[in-house]
Amino acid sequence: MSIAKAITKSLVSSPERRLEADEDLAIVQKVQAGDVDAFDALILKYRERVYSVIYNLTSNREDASDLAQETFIKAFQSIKRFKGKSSFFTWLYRIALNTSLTHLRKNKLRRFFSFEKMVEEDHSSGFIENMTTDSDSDKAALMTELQETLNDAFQKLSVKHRTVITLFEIDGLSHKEIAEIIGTSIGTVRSRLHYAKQFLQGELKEYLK
Amino acid sequence: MFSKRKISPENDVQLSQLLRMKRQERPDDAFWGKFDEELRSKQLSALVRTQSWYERTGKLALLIARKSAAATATLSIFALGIFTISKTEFFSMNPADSVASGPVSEMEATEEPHFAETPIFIVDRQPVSNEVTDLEIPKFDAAPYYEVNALTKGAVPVSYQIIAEPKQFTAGSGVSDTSLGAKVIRTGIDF
Repeated sequence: MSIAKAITKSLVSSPERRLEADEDLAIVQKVQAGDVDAFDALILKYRERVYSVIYNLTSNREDASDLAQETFIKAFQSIKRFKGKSSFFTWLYRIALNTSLTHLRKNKLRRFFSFEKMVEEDHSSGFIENMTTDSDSDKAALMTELQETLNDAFQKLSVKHRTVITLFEIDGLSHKEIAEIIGTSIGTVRSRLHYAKQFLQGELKEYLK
Repeated sequence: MFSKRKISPENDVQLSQLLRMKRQERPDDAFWGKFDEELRSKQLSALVRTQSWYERTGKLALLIARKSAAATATLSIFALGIFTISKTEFFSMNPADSVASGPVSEMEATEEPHFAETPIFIVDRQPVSNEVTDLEIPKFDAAPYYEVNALTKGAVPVSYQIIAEPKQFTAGSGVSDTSLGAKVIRTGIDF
């Protein structure tokens, strides 16, 4: 099913999201009124999330950087057409996904990956701690190995499944939000998520004990 | 690719923890500095491009007009030539041909009087009054007279050129209507 398919009017799920959507709309209206600099606030707010989604879809940091920039340029160029039927965030994510999918279709024959370094944080070290009690160097080696295996498994997923699991597990969006972004039903999102998890469990079984 | 087997809840939690580790694959601050710089540059280019849209459309229209000028001129000359030629004698319908050519011409020929002979028109002159002026001297004593004008086809291809050759005679002088070798269509006081 095409990502670019028409999306129904969005109903922002949580109160936080609703507040966020209202704030975004106020900024968008400023940009539409001619305050071009106001768009910087939207870039600053969403650049990391947009980059992260594209990076996990393409598995190439340089491509992800270019595509994220392209996403913001496209959004900037067509912001006058944004009517507020969906939240700005949903609209921006749709642009990001379409841009990424177009890129993946064009470049499916030449795929090479370049990954970001994993920044160690509390919850990841906790996960590693559960797997080994060895020295820091061993932990670092295990983390690198895990990252490679994880990315490798991720790239084996189809783009449709990778999109859904990226938006759900990495970006933390709800089923409903994902459905709005990719233009499908919540049931389809759940189904894709289930199969993607099932596949990854098989690929990562040695880490899941 | 996938089977319908269930995912164990314990594994599901662990998998979620594992996948969330991908959140830590983040670029450093230097990356974002470069990213912002490049994006700003692209944004400005896009802004400039957006502003010059009308200008670019105008240029495109001008370019198309320039490129097609020769073709337009050629077509115009050709059309003018066709129009001019169609209006000349070469392509015009010859009346003689039309009689001989098609059924329509034949029908027209039967509906309209066909002059095999030279057409004439006759002016019925009123008898000269008895009032005598200095300028007009009566030639005949109150007897009507006629002025017969022959119509001859001249050099003009389509219309007739009227060459009046007045021949006067007095009524009752024995000259018949066709005495001049022409058939009288209509007579009247004035033409």
